Amino acid sequence: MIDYLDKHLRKLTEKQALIVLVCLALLVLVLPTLIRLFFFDGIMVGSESYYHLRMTSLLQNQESISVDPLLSGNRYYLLNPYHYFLAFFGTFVSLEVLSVVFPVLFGLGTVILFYFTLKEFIKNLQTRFLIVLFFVLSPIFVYVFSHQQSTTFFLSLSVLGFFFFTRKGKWPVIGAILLAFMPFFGILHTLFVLTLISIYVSTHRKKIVYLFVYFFLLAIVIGIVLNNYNILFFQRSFFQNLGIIEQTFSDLGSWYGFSLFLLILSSIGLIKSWVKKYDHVLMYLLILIAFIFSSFFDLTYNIYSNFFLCIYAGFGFISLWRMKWGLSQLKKMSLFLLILGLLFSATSTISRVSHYGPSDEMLMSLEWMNENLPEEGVIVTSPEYAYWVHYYAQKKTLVDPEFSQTLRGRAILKDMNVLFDIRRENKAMQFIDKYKIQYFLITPEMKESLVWQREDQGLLFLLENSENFKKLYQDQGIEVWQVLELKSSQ
Amino acid sequence: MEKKRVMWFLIAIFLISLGIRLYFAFQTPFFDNDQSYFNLRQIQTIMETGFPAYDDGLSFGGRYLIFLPLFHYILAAFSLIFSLDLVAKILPNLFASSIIFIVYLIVQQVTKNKEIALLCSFVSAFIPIYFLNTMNAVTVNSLSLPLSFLILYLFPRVKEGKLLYLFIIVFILSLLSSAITIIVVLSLVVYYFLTKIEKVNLEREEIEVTVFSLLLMLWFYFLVFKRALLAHGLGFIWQNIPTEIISRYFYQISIPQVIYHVGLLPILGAVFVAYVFLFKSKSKQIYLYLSFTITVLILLWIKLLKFDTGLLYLSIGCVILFGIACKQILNYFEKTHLQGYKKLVLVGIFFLVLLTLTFPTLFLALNQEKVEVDLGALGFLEDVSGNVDEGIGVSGNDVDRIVILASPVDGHIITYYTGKETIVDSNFLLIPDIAERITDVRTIFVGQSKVIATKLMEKYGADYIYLSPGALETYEIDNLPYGDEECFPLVYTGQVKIYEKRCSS
Repeated sequence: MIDYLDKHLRKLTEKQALIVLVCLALLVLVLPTLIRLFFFDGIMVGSESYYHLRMTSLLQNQESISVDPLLSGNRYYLLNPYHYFLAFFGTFVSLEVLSVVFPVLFGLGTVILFYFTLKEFIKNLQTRFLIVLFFVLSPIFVYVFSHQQSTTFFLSLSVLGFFFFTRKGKWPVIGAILLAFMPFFGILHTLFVLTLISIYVSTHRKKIVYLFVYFFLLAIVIGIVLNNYNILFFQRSFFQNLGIIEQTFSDLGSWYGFSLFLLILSSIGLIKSWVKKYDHVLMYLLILIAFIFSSFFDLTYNIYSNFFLCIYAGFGFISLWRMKWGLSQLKKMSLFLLILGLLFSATSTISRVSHYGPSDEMLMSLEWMNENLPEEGVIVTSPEYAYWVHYYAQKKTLVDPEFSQTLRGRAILKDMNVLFDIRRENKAMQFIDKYKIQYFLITPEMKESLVWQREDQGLLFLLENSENFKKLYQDQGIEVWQVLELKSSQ
Repeated sequence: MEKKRVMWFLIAIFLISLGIRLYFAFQTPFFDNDQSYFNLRQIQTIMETGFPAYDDGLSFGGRYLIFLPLFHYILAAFSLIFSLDLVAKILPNLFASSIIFIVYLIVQQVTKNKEIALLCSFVSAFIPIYFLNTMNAVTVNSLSLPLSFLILYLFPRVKEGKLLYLFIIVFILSLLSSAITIIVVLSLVVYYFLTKIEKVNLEREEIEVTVFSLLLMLWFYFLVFKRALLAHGLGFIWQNIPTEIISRYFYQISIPQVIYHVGLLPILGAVFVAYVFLFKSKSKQIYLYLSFTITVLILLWIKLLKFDTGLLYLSIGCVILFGIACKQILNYFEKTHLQGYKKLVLVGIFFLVLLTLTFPTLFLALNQEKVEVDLGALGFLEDVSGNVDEGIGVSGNDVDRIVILASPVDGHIITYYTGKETIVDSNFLLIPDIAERITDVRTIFVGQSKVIATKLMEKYGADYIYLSPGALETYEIDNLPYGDEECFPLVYTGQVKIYEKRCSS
């Protein structure tokens, strides 16, 4: 295989490289959807996908949204440009179709734009091809572009913006306009892109005027965000309940983790680049910033590190490939193993994404709730399931992952966690009364680790042993409990 | 010494070691640890179906297993010709005894002294922990340990024509037999850094082989243990063993314990060599074995390696270093007026070995408590489905589905002999809520409440409680506190007591 790769890499043309990369990216991104189609009755994958779908549907019907009607207490709607984008195209094609097609299209677009942006900086075709190849096989790429999320949209937007920024003529103005949307996705994303653009401009002095254009547009957008939401440090965050090492490696369960083999290759690339460390110092700085952001604030910042690590992995692979080995057989086998390792991480992520909920049994319970529970019922469950409850059961929840990032959302989430831990009936009823909770949706995952560790822990014990609760539904470990006594309703 | 004579000596040591091992092994029809019964069941399944039972319906009431099957396949292949009982007794001992040849090759390679190499091969045959742990057990260690040291022997010689291919083959076999190969690869990485620190130049081929081994190992284990890695993350290293009992497997090493299990002479030899070659002189070849020993020691120290397994590897590493120490002593004698007494010194060391290692090991083997399994109790459980008339078991299970509650150490023995489901055994990997399960089992054994016990038995669908001497010792009880005629009657009594659950909550 390595001989084959060696032979074809040497003869590779620009056109062939692009075709191979686009086809591979298409395969990688379409596979999870195909698996869902054949094994899960085509149920759309992911959790956030359903939020965007629901909010866009609302937007299409109401022109503008101020509050989210399915969050108990009617919390204000956090403006997301993606919903407007989706709503616009939704007038021509069904939203369900767009929700599946758009992430793939964004992914393909990002691959092509990344390839052409690299062309500006890396002249060697083989290196560029390998870098983008590693990017396509990276678990973060598979996760981000295989289903609909805010990250899918703003990553494509920032890659497109940066691409325009690196072009000649008036294109950088369009780039500045696109990048100016970043404050809608989080202040730290804005900071990161700002640093990237500043570094780019400082090394390409001609574009300094466009940096001012960018600053100006950015100031306007920040002004709009502040004026409307009064939250400067709003952050669309992603957290997984994992240790620091598990968060780093996708192979250990992290959605925004890196392939171990990609890290090995990029380490080799980084070590090799150290000879010209002063040429690379700004790249090192960007990687460091992304790592700090992802370690302390939000795992999503690994999407930026992923680009840079792929670049160094490309350098690393090329240096191993060109290096003279004493045992040439081992060279071939080692390079082959590296490629197999990268493929392994990609396929493992594809498999995990396609098995990400909602499962058939979850869907059945949600549909049961839709048909059998009153419209105004407030359901408490893990925030992870909130988007599904909203979309399929059409019922209210206390928080969802987006709302839980705000101050009020965090306070409710804290109360909810206290409620989950309570075993004393009167104390639990106080919380239930405070939030007018009527139903609990309990899943096996919640019992196993998501919320509880044992089957008789906290609220689980109370549900089983108190006469104030009645089990309405039970199927394959999924339970729906009703609160029989609400003081305020008495 | 002549090559032919050396060969005869080696064969003699091998035969003596194997003979003694088999003598002790055949003293009892049973095996020393519960993992042996797990391995036996897997071998049986391979013989019947051609594949191991990765989807095991009996362990933990049905679970997915992850293990490397080479050892089981080898034993299954031989069991097609000979009886499984015979193969299970002989083959692991044959593998374990093969370390004699490998230690000889390594020490001879490093010291260039056949007498010392022979002495070390003799020492390796009677290391207490190695002898006792592999003598009467169907354990993967008996195969993976010799393979690991064969890798270390071949590593510096990969430049020699076909030895590279032999290295790759042995490495793949080792990968397929046990995850412990990680230690070997880690030690190669430590070796790389140690030579860098000591400013000793490594050959390019050695670095290439290290890189290749590391990549192959990572890829292979990520592939095989993918599910476990995703389920447990880094906790995979501790095999999902619940905190309540983890101290039985991973515990702090102490010097007296190491001396007791490994022997004083190998330890002293290893310490001496570490001192000489880290502070006085340099030798690339010795650094390889020193790196291996240091790696195992560190992993044991930070509790990343099971105590028993770690000591097995540490002991053989120490024996090799002991050989190097002997060579250093002889070199010293050569520089003095006593150079004519070199042979006498070796004979003296040999007698010391006999006194401090061989005899104590044999004494320990002689006095080791013989494993007894109550076949009557197991026979009772095997036939138990025939006792239920109604078509439904006491816990509402199907007649065929009799579930037995036993302590983790009895789990594999019960499933092997009876073919019945158990609630727990000692393979914890991939079991959700393992801590809760272990606590529940403990509550059933030590709790005073019949009601709670009944509830917990129902939670797992258990029909019988298997109270073995091992369980009595583990839970520090004399009998089942709430056993009575009504709800938990004693249905079998012997070495083991069996209680049947007749009430429901």
